[in-house]
Amino acid sequence: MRLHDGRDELPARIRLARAGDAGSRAWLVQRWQEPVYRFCRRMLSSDEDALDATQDTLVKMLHHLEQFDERRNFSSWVFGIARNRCIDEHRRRKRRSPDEPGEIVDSGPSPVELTARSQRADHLLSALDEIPPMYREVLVLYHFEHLKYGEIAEALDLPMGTVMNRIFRARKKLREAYEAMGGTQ
Amino acid sequence: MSAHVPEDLLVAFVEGELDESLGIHIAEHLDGCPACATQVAALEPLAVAFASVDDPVLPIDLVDQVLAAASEQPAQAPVTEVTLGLGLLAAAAATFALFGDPVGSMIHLSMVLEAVAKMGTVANGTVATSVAATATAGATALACSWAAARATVPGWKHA
Ligand SMILES: [Zn+2]
Repeated sequence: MRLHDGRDELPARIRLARAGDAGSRAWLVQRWQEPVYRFCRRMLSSDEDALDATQDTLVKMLHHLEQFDERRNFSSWVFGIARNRCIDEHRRRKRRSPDEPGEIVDSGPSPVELTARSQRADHLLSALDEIPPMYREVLVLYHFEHLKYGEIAEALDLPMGTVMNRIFRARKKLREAYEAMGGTQ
Repeated sequence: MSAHVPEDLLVAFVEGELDESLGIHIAEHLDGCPACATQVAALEPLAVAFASVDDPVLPIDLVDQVLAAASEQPAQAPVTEVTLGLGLLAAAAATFALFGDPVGSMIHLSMVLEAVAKMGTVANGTVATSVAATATAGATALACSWAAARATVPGWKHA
């Protein structure tokens, strides 16, 4: 549960950052730069695009701190900004090359270079790239960022039941893509 | 649900075989119960594959860059203020166009002027009508381009 350390300090930091405290603004960016980058990198499959998306997300986080409702979950709010930025990036790619798939996928190492563990990881990441972004995002938030169902529902602004069903469908699609690649469980 | 979820139910949950209300009930329990959540994680058929994936590592520290960018770019006006401004402009323009009622339009236009002045975009009253028309056209164009943008990513709605 990576995002829950330092939680007690968070409300105070948010309040101070809103009041313009430079140290608290830096603390928030420091605290969220890694999780936001991990999410964007997994959604966009490109180092450069993920870095741009991460920076934009964090700048927006600081600019819109006033709009954050303190009764809500801050991680969900930040991931919500990040996923909207990733959606925009997918749209930009579609506009750039409407006839090509909107994904940039790393070629990666050849199968002979891979050990069993990394082969499994490689198949899983390739399978994740295969499934539509709306399914990929829930899996990334749930399985990699360890957000709870309720937190994902807040980040995506969707009812709990919809999130749950989307995760089930996403897992099924992922499993199919994974097995089609010859991945083993 | 205060007691833990029986394993057969957890298996059915992972497989997505439960009806929605029971599923939501279990999801809410899992959010508050690390023991059941751990059990569910182990039941996921691709658990081993997920665990084998390394995290992408942020190649550079972004703190200074982000703080500099955040202080350079002015913060955008809160969404509600812009929406309210556009709404007022559109409403005044529509009233004027539909009814041509000079009194109603005057009242609306004075509201528009006030709103516009508050938004700090226009200070001169003589351009209010064209501002209203431009804003309406702008809002329509925005709505169209947004709809077009939405259509480019099938099945993925903006939150
Ligand atoms: Zn339990």
